[in-house]
Amino acid sequence: MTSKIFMGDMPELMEKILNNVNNDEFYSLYPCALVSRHWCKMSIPILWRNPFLSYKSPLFISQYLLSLDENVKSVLKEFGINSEILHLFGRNERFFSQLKELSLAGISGLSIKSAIALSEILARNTTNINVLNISEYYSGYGPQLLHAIVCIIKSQVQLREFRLIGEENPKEFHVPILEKSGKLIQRLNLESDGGEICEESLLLSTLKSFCPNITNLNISTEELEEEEELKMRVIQFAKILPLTLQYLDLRYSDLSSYIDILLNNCYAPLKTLLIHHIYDKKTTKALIKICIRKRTLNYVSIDSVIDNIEKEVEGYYKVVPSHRITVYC
Amino acid sequence: MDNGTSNSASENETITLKSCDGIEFHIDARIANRYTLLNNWNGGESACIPNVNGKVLEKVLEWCEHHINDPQLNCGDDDSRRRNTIIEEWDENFLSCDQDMLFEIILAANYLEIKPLLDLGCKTVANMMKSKSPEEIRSAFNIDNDYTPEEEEQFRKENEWAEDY
Repeated sequence: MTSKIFMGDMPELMEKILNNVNNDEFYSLYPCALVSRHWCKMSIPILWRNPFLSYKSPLFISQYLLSLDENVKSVLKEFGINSEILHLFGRNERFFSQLKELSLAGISGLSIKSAIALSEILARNTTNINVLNISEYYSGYGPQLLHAIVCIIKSQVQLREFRLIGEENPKEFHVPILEKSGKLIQRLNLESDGGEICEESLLLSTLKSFCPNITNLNISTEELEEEEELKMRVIQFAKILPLTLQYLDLRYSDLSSYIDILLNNCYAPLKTLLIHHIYDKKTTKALIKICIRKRTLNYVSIDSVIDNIEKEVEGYYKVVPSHRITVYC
Repeated sequence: MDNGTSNSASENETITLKSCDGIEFHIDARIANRYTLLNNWNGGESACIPNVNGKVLEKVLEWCEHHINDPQLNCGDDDSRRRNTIIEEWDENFLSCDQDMLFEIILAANYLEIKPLLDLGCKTVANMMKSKSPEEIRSAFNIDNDYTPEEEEQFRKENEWAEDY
């Protein structure tokens, strides 16, 4: 008898199974999509989640070219396009309209022209993306690509997760997305390789005004030398944290130097907190205080474990090494 | 862990669960404390778990008992695409049952919100699909092919880039 999981009654379970197929063997998804119409419907969004990630399919562009019929190839040649086939993807609206998760992680591997073409196609054809991941963006790509990516961001109406990771995080990316989809967004990761978020104060005020439903937040912030200024910012940051926030990753943020101040001013119902380490008694005390006050904190994850810390906090929360926390924000 | 309250059950404490077909199980209370839904059906003459029969509940509880001392690092992330697909030997043997039972365990774990077991079941099924052709998958899971030949051909063409080569 066929399990109801595969008959369309439990799509969430089938998606979970197919995600597991995708984890190890990307190519095994292709035969899955050929099993039946329902399997196709379930597999395609996963198969097309990130076709531009080079490790998955380094030769896929040439494979794709080989699969085209002669008419299409001659049209491409008329436009002077031989290896740049990305314009062609514009015809594949059926797939783009089904995309639920999009990663532009491989964009740096494309030429600027291709990246712009792809981004324009995505902006025109995708509106229902739930998870958007932009990384490896550099200002050197120029205004046209920036505009095209902003258009992708602005066309989305169902965004739940947004990750912006790279050396540069222009405000043109995160501000429109928070303004447009802020109410829907539950997971937000704004992380910079250089450790800074551009226009941080603007970001904080945008977060406060537009994002009331965030449950997971991972943010890296600008380094400040002035101690008093930093303390003020910690308080400001603590106060803007949404009342839905459950998971906060501050391992790479300067704000975690004053984690005691942050916790004393925090009203979010945190369940998990990730910090670099527990600095001193003040931090331990603040962590215990927030446990008593909010009664939600279950796990504090730290990179470097200090002796006896577990005993001291026993009964309030559990200290675990950060590599054992699997939440991905 | 709920600020030190949720693991309060002692080793000798037991609770009673009843499957939908009336079979009673007396289990270590610490198991129920780990999984909220199991705890909800604790005790009471008529309290029984709907949708899960005795045969399946026995398997689910056997798994829970074996993993009673596992660390609980379930921090709200149920996103299976970010996890690996390695399965430990005991679990692999445990799920080497017939396919109907495997799917029943997955459905029960989903219903009872036992996420680690649900993940494990999904990984096991995923492993059964790997490196198989569409025909082999259809045959393994008894699925009918409702594609027309034209549709199938069109699909193959549009997705050829994803084929293993």
